[in-house]
Amino acid sequence: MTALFVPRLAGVLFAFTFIGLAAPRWCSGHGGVSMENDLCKLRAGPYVLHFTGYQPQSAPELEFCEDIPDTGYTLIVLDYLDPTLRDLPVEARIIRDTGDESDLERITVYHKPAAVYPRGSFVIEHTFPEPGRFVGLIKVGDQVSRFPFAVGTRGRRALMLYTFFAAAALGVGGLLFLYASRRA
Amino acid sequence: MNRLQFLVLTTLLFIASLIFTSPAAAHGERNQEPFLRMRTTHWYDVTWSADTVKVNDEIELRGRLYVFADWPKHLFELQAVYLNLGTNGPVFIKVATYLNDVPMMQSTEVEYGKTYDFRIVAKARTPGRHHVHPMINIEDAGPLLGPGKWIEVTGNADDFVYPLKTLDGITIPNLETWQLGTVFRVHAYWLILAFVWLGWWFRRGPSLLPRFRALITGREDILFTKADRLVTAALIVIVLFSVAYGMISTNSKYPRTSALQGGRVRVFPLPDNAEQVVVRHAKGVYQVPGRSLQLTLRVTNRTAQAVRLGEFTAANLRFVNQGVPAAVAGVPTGYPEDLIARNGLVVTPDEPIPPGETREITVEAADAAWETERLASLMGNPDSSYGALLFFFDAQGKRSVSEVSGPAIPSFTAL
Repeated sequence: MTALFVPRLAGVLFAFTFIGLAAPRWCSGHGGVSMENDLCKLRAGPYVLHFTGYQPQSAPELEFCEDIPDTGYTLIVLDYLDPTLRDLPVEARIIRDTGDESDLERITVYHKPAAVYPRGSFVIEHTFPEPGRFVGLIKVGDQVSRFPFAVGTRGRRALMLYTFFAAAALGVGGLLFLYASRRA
Repeated sequence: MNRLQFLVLTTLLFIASLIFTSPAAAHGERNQEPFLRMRTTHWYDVTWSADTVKVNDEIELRGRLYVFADWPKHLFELQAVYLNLGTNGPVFIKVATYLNDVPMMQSTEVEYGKTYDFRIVAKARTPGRHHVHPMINIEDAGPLLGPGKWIEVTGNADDFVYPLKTLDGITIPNLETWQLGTVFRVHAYWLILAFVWLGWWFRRGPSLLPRFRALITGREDILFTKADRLVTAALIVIVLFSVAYGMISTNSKYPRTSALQGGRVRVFPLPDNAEQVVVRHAKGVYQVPGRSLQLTLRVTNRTAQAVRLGEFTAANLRFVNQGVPAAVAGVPTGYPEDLIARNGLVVTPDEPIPPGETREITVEAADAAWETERLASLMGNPDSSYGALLFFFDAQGKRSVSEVSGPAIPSFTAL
């Protein structure tokens, strides 16, 4: 390794980080729901809805997208970004993620029948008694959006954040230590 | 990393930032804070004279501008304002603007709690589909946009011309390109002169450190040679002569000119309506899941006729009471649909308020637009007071406009 290896490696890592952050990303880990340009969106075919989740009893200040932080009373509001949605029926179903969707009724934990909402908002109210993995099915007209999600992820998310920042700090510290050693 | 590697890397990063940018669309006004959009300027009765125009055609925006009395003065006081046209770049040319028929080539001052008629004349310049708003710029603060409508401009951009005739008879065939050659030539002349001057000082290679060393060793005498002094003198002569020549030749070609105006135009507001409906905020709740603003208001009818609440408008969103025909008629055909709440306004009780009576009413304005227009984030603002205009109508359709503002508290109960 030459004396310039560490600064060059740091420069390359920085460049890739910058390019990666500059590039738009489409995450599909949660099916039809994703963060796009700082807005949580649910896609059902050509239709786009704004997805906002609330848990007013456990975290009234928090809005969530995708996974649900705690168990308990949960509100999910879908706001229509496309005016044509106000004339279409919308239906919602939440099922347990068992891997087998042949009998939806058996694994359904929540169902709101299809109806038209000219006000432009569709609300899902449900209480999750326990953590677990679920799948949301939103049917807009004849288009269905499927989004898997987990309930009770708050502790895990915090752990992931701490782990990430610890790893980043260790990485930066390690690079600086190697660089300083080389210089000496 | 050597210089070449660094140059290559920065070039790649720059190209990456250009390639990976997202496309921009309309509705940038959603980025403005909700209290700014609700408690500063209110635009109503706004009309656009056409939906589709050709390049070179003119359109006219008309309407009323109300300056909110409960202006967020803790942030910025209202000083000079400038009436403008809000579009995505110079796709329209602003031909003329008026406030109460006073031409607005310059800035002016407006008063809190007053109303002004506005008129904006614009000429289509660039083909495409453009979102066109009336706009007002506030000194030291920024722009405040009125409602926007999509206008289609057809034709060819190369066909755009902007002819003018000056007061002393000079005909300008196209202001877009008039005297551009002269502008480029003058800029090129001064740029070349500047580079020659810089080049003279840097022609011998490293020039900063040797000069620095000469200074710290007390050898300032070697910093300037005889040749340097001769070149400097020649440049001074050339610069002075160039400036004088430019001034004399321009003055002889255009002897009659007027300075760019730095003053302000004075405009008087429309007279206050002697008969008013006075509204006071009593309670405000924003039902978060239902996207519903629910207000309790105390309304005092000081007009001579019984009135009903016909419309609630805030941040260019209109909630119209479908049970008041005059209010429904106040939404012209072709008005931007995304600014009209589908469910309208629910007023309880909705019976007419007799003259002289004070009544407490509840008003519900519910629509997903509170969220999609990013107005619900008002709840998280340091200043979470809403602001709105209320339109009351009597049986003959005569309208009274009132302002209301107050705090709104978020709630998750009772969908």
